[in-house]
Amino acid sequence: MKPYYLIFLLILFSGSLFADTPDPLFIQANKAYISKNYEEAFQAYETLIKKGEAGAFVYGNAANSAYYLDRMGLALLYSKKALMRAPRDADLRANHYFILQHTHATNNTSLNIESVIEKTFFWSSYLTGHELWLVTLSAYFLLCLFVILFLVFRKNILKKGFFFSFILFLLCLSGLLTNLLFLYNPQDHYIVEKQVPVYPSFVSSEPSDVLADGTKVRVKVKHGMGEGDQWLFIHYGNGKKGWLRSVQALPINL
Amino acid sequence: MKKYFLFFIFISQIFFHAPESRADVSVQAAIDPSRASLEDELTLTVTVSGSMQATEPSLPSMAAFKVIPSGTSTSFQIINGQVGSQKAYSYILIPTQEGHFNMGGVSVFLNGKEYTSNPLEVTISKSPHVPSGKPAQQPDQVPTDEDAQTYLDRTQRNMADLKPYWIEAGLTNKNPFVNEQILYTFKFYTLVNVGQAQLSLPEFKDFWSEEVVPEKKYYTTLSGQKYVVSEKIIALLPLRSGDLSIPETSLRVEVPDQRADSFFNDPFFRMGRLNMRPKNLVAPALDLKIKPWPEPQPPDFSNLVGEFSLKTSLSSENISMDDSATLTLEVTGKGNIKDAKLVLPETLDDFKIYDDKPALDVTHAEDGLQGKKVFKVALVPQREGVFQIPPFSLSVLDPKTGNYVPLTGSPFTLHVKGGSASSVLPIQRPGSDRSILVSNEDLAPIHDEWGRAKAKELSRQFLLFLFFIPAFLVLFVYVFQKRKKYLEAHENEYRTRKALAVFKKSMRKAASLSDLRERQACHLEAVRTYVRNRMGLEQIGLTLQEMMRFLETKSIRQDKKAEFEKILLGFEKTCYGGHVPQKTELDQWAPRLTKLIEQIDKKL
Repeated sequence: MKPYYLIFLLILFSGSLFADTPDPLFIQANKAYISKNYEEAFQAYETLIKKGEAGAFVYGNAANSAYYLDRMGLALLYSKKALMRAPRDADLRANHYFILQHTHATNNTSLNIESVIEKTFFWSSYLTGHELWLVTLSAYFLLCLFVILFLVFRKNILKKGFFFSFILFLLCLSGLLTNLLFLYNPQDHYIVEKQVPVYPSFVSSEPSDVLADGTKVRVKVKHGMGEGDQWLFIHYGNGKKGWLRSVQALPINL
Repeated sequence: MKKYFLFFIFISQIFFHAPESRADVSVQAAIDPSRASLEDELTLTVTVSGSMQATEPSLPSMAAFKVIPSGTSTSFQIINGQVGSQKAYSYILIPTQEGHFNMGGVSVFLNGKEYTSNPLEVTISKSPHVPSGKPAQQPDQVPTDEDAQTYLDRTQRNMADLKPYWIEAGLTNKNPFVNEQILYTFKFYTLVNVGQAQLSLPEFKDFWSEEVVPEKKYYTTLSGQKYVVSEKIIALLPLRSGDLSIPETSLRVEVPDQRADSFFNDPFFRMGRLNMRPKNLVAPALDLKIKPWPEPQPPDFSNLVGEFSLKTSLSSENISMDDSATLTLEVTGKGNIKDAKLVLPETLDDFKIYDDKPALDVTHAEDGLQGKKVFKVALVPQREGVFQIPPFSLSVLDPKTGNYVPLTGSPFTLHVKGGSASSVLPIQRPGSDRSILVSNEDLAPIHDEWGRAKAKELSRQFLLFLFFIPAFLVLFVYVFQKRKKYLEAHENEYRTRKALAVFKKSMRKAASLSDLRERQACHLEAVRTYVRNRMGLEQIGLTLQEMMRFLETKSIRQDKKAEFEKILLGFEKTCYGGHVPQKTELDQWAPRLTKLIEQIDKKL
């Protein structure tokens, strides 16, 4: 029995045992931020993000720097990404809503039904996507266990267990789907440049609208050859549509 | 076949006669129309006849025109057996100057020889839509504010007497201060329905610009005519003093072609659609003289030029040492509100001051940019006591008077009581108290923890795969349970179906036994089991007679029955009678018995 305990403890504290030492760039960025050199701090945080070593706090710190540089689109994008990675961190959550309040962009891309669903399954925003997968998977395992037990033993008490685990599974699944489809929809992008013109078609010369940075848009179609130079067909506002350049809007869930 | 032959002759006529026709190369050039205004677009067509091999046309100098190639076309024709070819090059000419222009001919080259067209001639008159009097737009004349205000009215009156459409561009003030907001207004007047329009706004170099009215349409009546007006307004803030110029504004618009040169231009024949032609309408450049800020500038000058007001408030006048007070300064007005900056007083030594990022709320109205900028300053006391917060002030430049106007807030008295002075950590550390900066008024501090920076997650594919495992498990258990239930309900049927297989399996098992008696006993038991299973009997230990009775009931041949009985008798004797059969006899019994049972099973 003893070895099992040891393995369990090892798994539990493996994160602490193999914790990384901070990247020197991270320390440098934090120092730049403290001395209000937000441009340098932001550059350093972005480098870490591009290196692929960024977790919630690097994104959160980058969002703070972007906010002070008045780059609201990037601030909103990074604070949302930070929240995706550490949704129960009170500071990151507060910062995201603070930035959201201070942006002048309209973020009403969601249909009313979407906001209703988001509010109904609000608890799903307190779990990361990965945690939601694991919770849903666990509920599913429990449900299957009850099904198997009922098939073998045919006891009425197992029917109740089956019923409750089914409800639990549905709840978890709804949370997971809310997370995937609405909260962190891969099609959702934030405008990251100031005053981005939106064209009725990508061959038009006259813009039909201008979007402020931080506006949330939903990309429906990508058109173009390279990743860096594409046209995006977007839905925004409530039912508005148009085209813009791919460098002007960045995806939230990536 | 005859058809193909004729087609071949036709094609060869075209190609083999072409070299002959090179001798008759000619170049024709024509501008349509030959008389036009500055607003019109002209078409230059260069037709090269007699050869397809000539170089592209070399146009004469056309400094007074903007030339845009618009394509080529090729044609072949056979007249009286003579094959001719033509290639036509088209160009769009947009006039930029008025006058009569005699240009040379267009040249093409073939085999080193130059062929030149007839010379080109065109007359460009002044735009009929521009009024003769343009008081506010003469480049060498800087208009006064009064001129600028009355300019639009006067030009409208003049233009309305003239044409069905025109554009105009104007400024609300041509003599502003640096950073003073002025409005650039573009207007397109039309009496007729127009087609596609493309506006080319000038580059507002040396200005900070922001569109305040993207496009507004309305009706206006001028000289008894009802015009549709499309208007665009842009707020401009000059960035430097001195003489500045805004280049000309142009609008390319498709207007109905009024030239009734064809019977078929009648709307009746065009199914109600109008014949359109493009027009290039131009509004002249605008010149401004930007005034510098008057000297001396007050130290608290906030870069604001316009009409502004200041309002100040303090969140609380009684705080403890562990608390903070927020001082709010709200600058409201019309003009370059974005440029407003806060100059902190130097007399607040007893406080640590943390200024928040200012909140800006700008609205775009027809009379320009206006809004408010809110500065928030957190005051963290360093000791107990009663403190006088001096009034914050800033100066703005009033462009009407040209004087600096001080805006002053209210003074406040702040009572600080008890507690110990807390230092504000710029970085949130785990377990530390929440600092004053964490509030609804500013961002929470950054984190310096690195441990959670890297995310370790299972792949999405693996998670999806995990979903299938319990599903398969449930399916397996379900199938297993179903089968078990079925077997329980149909045991006899199952035994009957499986009787032969069970028999063969037992025979194979018996063959592996080394002891002769045991082997014969096993053979005998295999036969008994077979008969029992096949008959669906529960009884065990069937005798030879009972087994033979079973065969009697079935239509089995007599010789088979006899052989069956003989073999079974032999087994019984070996097992129970101590008889030892010969080895050859013994080796034949088992396969023979198996074959007999198979034959019997088929009959059953």
